[in-house]
Amino acid sequence: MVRKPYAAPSAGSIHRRMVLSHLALGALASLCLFLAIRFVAFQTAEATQDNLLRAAANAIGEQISSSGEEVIVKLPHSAFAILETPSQDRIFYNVRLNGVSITGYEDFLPPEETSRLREPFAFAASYRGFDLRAVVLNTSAPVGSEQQAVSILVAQTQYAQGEVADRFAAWAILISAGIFLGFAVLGVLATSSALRPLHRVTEAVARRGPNDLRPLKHPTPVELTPLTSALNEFIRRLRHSLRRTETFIAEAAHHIRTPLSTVQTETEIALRNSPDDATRKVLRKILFSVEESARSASQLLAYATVTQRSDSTPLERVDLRAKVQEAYDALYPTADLKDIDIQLQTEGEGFDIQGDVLMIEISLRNLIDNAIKYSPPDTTISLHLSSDGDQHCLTVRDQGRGLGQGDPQKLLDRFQRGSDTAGIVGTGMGLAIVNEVARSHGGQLSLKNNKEGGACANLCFPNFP
Amino acid sequence: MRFLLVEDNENLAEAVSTRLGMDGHAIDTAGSLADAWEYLDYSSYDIVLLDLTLPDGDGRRFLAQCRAQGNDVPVIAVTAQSDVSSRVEVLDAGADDYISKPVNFSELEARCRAVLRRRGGSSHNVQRFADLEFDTLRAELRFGNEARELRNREMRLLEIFFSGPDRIFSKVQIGDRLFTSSEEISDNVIEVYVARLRKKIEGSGAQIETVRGLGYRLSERG
Repeated sequence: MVRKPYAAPSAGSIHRRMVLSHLALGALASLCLFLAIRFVAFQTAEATQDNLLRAAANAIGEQISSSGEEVIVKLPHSAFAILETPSQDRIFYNVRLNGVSITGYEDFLPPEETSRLREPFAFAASYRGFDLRAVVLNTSAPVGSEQQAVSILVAQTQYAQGEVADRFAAWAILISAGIFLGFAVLGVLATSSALRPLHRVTEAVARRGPNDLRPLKHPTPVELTPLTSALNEFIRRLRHSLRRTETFIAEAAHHIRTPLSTVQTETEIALRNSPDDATRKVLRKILFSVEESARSASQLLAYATVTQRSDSTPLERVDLRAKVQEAYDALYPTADLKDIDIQLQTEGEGFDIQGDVLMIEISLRNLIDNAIKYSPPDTTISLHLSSDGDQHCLTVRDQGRGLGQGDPQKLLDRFQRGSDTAGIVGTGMGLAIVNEVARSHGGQLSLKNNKEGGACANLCFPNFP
Repeated sequence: MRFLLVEDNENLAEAVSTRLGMDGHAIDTAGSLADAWEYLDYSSYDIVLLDLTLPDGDGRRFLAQCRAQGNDVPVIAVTAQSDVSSRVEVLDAGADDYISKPVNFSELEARCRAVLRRRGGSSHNVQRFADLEFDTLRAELRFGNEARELRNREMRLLEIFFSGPDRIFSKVQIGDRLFTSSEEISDNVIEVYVARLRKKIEGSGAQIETVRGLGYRLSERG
């Protein structure tokens, strides 16, 4: 039997949502970390450069001396050695006495507001198109008896500092990437661990046989308890309603059939005892209607049974050949009453199919019963069971009036009867039932007229290896 | 045939027993399983017709108990349930056959015959008239050195004649017994079957006479 699982429309995946949020969090964290590392690296490099510039300024300051009215500035070699870098950084300086440049770049001046600071002061400067880091040191030198103000300005380009910062940034990228990866792995692990109980519940429900309507007793996390409770309540209602339907079907059959039996039997008795033609005609009409009601009742109930069972019954291995033989045995006397001969022919072997025994029996009986019903006396119905390996087919051929005009497949719909069926008791349910059974077993029922007259029905079920 | 009908619905039980009586059968009716046990203890039956839902228990249990006690009287279950699973259960419990309500009496008779035939039959199913020997279970007719098989309707027609040799049966009477009550029949059909049956007994010491205006009669060839 073929049953496709029903899937509710998807509202996205929790798994994906959780992994994605972990990734987003990871990305944010590693970006922050990257920026932080870079900032600190830059600050550190700058502080180092500032310290070197200060040392250089101090070294120059210490070498300032005076003799009488003269101020002597000796630019010490060590001052520039301190600032030497592998990056070929350029150095600018300017030493001024009372605001007048003594040595260095005359037009390279510190900002005005730094002139009163007593401590060496570092700042960012720009000179001749270079971005510089500069330190200004205000000190004094004795000229004669007076102390004169000396301002020492030393600046350097930031190539080396940039290189250090870049190196740090590279490390920062590497570390951030590591952190991001960590988050991603953690996200996947956390998600599957969080979703595992949900999968377990799903499996527990999916694994169940169709008749297993016990409540779920699987231990579940607190968050899933409302779901499992709701599921269990639903299962309880389903079980209740299934049981009610089954009881109802059986009860209905009993309560309809028993009184019908009485009516029918009493009418037959009256018919036998009545010599009057008009009365007999009426009695016959009653009998016809009774038979029709009884048949409708059976067919409607059979249809209800079949549609109810198609979703709720365990499937088993069924020997189609044995079932055909049983149906043949059961219906042979019915056919014999009308002097109809049924011939059963089997070709090949291994007629196993998978399905619901009850439904298969109902379908076979309906199919053969239908042929008997529409066959005139003294005719033959042939049952031919054959197999092509993939599917097993029962072909039922009768020598009756055939299926009439129009599309024979239309007769498979409920309450559709052929065009030529007046005078024969029928509900139009029989073939619908057979069709329903075939369909739910992954097989099919097809109808056509025989070339030599009569109807031909072909019922196929897929092979079950 | 001798029937025991186990059915709790009185109206139905009465109607069925009247109806079967019309075809020449003898019927005892039990309204409960307890009654049924009593009847079975004192008499023997050709067939038990067993309803499945009775006031004092389930017919299937009764059946199983019956078989367990070694009583193998043929049982045909009369079920109101249409679903095949209860039918299968019934057969598993030891019923010989089942028939669903409302009962088609021709079919019931056919099934009874089939059950008895399967069980090997007994000699009392052979009826005699003139030099005819009629085995109703095998649907076989013998006279002299001849043995002829009868089709179902020929056999049932002959049965009607055997039920009252030398009696005249009208076409209406014959039609009522030969056809399902809901079948449309014409007088002509009965003539056809009478003609066929005449052919089957040709050469024997019996004949089917046409009594003009009244019907047919089985009589010895004078």
